[in-house]
Amino acid sequence: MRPLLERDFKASFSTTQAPIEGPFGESWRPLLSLILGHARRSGADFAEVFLERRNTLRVTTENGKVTAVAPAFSLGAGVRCFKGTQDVYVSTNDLSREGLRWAVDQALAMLGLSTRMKHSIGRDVQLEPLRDFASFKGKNSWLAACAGVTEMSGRLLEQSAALKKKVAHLQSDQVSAFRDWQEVLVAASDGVFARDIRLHQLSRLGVNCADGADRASAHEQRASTGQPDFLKTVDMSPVVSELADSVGVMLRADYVSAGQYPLVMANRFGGVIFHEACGHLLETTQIERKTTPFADSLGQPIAHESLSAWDEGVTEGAFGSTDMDDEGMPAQSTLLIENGILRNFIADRAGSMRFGHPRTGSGRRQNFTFAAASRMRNTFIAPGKFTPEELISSCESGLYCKKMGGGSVGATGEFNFAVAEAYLIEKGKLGKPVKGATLIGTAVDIMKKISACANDIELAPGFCGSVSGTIYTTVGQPHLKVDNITVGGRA
Amino acid sequence: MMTQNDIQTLIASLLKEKPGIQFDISGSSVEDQTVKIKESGTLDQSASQRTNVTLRVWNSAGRVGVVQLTSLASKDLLAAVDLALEAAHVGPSEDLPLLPSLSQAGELPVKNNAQVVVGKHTAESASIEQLAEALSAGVELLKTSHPSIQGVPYNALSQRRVDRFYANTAGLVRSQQGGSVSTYLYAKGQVDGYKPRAAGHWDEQNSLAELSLTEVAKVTSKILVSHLQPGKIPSGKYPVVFSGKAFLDLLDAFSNLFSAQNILDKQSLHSKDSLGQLIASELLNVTDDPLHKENISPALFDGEGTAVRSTVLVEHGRLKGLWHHSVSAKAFATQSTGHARVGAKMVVGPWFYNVAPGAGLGAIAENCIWVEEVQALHAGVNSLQGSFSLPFLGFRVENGQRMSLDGVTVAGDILATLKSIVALGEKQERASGGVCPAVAVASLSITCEL
Repeated sequence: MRPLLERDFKASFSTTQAPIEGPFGESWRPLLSLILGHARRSGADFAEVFLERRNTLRVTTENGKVTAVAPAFSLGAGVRCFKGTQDVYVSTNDLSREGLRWAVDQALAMLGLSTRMKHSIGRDVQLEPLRDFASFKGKNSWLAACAGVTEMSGRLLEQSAALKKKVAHLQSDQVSAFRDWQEVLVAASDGVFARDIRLHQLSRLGVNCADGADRASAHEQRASTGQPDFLKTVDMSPVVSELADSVGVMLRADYVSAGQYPLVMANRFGGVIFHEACGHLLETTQIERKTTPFADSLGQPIAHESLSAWDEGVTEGAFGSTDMDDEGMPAQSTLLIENGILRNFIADRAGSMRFGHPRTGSGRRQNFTFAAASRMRNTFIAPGKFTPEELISSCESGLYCKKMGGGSVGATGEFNFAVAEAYLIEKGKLGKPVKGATLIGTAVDIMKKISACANDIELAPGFCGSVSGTIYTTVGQPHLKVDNITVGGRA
Repeated sequence: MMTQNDIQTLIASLLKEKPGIQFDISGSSVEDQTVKIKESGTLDQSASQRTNVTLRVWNSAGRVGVVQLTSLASKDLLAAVDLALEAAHVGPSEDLPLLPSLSQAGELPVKNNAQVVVGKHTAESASIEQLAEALSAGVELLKTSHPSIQGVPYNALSQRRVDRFYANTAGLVRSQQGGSVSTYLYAKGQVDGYKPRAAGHWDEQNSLAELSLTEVAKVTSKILVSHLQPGKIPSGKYPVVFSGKAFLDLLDAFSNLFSAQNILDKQSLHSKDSLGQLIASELLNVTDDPLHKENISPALFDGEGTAVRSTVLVEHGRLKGLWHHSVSAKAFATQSTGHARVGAKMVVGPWFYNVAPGAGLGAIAENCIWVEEVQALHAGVNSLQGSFSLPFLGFRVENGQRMSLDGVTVAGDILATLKSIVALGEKQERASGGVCPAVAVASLSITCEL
């Protein structure tokens, strides 16, 4: 192919359409090749276009009535350009060729690159053959196979009725489900050209109970990725029972006394502590901000030798799984910590470019309005050799955190987690329930205090909000023991 | 910007394709530019333009379907109408909203017309180079303001222009243009022998010219430096003073206290009977004041097109009012207060809190735990139980001497906290969601990490 002049680009651009209708794919190759070539000829070292189409449906019932049915659809694009290690990001929901041209020209201008170089010479970007994860894995029919609004509503009303039957002192219930179908296309000046369809679905039960001055609330959810019939088939009856038991106990719980406690943390959502206290600090985004104490710790011990941990995007059906990341890279499994030694960081393209850590297929974003960033997927602590009972019996007195709430970690590595359901450990056995506990500490300290892991790993779906928005993730761990932690409560 | 003519043309074109249907359409078009400075010194720049539209369609039975989309193109809106009618068939069958008329929606709080410019953003919008230059100067000033400051890991300067609109087939048409420039600087520092600490500050103005990065940098530096050498205290009960910002954050985390919709949903600590009851210390007076002069880019109408208005929430400790949309107002036999947020489900929310100043903190300010900023509200607040347990940035004040604290949480019950307010400061502090003086509470649980 002969080199292209900018005037050739203009001529080609004026006759190339943006094929907005229909699925993303080969039909976008001409326009995206032109746009990426235009960015390169204008002086960008690297350019990427991310196209996104979304179709969501959320249904909510409250107290046995449908109170919201919310379909939504959106379309948008993001253009990212690099000059050296500096990058800019421009997003738009105008996917016409003019809209995309505006976005790329804005990006180039923000990098200080002229878009009017009449004699600039270069080729259009030669995109690779389309890596179509959607077609390859039979995802094109997913949307049509999902539960419709009538079926979703019907199932939610059944679940609401089950809650009413099982939960004592029920003041209100909220039962909801959503489906989030997303089609993405990534094209980049290094030739990446990849398409995927993602499908995330979630079913959630929430209850609020009151009896006189005693109050308790609880919620529980089940979720899946890439399983179109999930909302048609998921059995929420065990969750109804679990919630009824949990909220019944917590309604009468006293507030926990503040202080230092040995701690046993349950599996499933207990993994949020590792996600917040350590996982975020292993994202290359944190190296860039100089907010991780582990930036120079590769190959060094950062945790107790009993602890190994993974971040991966490949577990079938898990909420954080993805066949390709939002930069077009296939998913991987990444060993983060092996017997306490830091082995890998979680890296996106920019992190790899700036710090040399290999990309891990972890470039993720909420939607087209965010540039991709290094983010966790399914993150979990590997199982150990003990039973949960052995961990509990090893504590003369302490706290058992059966169910965790949310948490966060600050710029100095200080973290905090709310505990949704907890019990005192007395003489190696579970004692009375307590509420209002908050776990506080610093990442560097806590990782060295996780002294034993049980053999019962389980994963739980969740959401993670950070630099590139809110994304679907999984946390997980076996039961584990923390030798000592500060518990915020009532004095 | 969408002019009233544009909106009327849009309505007419939809009615031409779908004669006789009743609908309303609301949304916004947003253009924003953001710059950030990375620790390496490189500039992180982004820009976006996007449209968010909510379409509500009434079917022949009066049921409503809601669809959200990102396009105002006729073909997309027509598809959305069909989808909304499908949703209406399955959606709520009780407590249905009616299509608002001008008489129900009220006149906008601006004379002559419904299309107004709020703020001076458009006339004075800055270039991205100007934004970058201003932020660079602010970050540099902050970095060099004290030898212990190690960096500014989180920082941003954003310029935003928002065009909002509302229109319906009953003839109500409203639009509004607004915008603002906002910044935050969040710095990290460390003194030998102590853990690293971090602190930040935020400001928002109508234009870059009115926003002082120098001032934000100075305030951030002052806050951070004051926390570099923290100490420990025994866990226990202490008198507590919340800064205005901290108290507003806490109050907003329990915003279901003032939501009529939450009461109807039984998702509130209050009931209908709570109106008129003493829910707080008689010292407390709270108004939702959307057009307060400190509210930089106020909305003039809510998601139903209803004009916003000032609403007294708490007067001398008594619950005097709630936020309403049209449906909750009907259930309470009152009028909408213009606080509707229309989405999958219509809810209500605050515009701008105005907590009235008091007679001063008095002696309690000399011996207390001073909570400067509460953190991790998303994790440490249980709004349905009324409990909170929150990490905070703050001080132990003893005989007027301040000592920063590290690894501390404050815990309590919101209703008990409101009732145990013993003093309010004389001067209001401006925060992102309102204005509020410092608020002193007789006693709360404080935990300190050892």
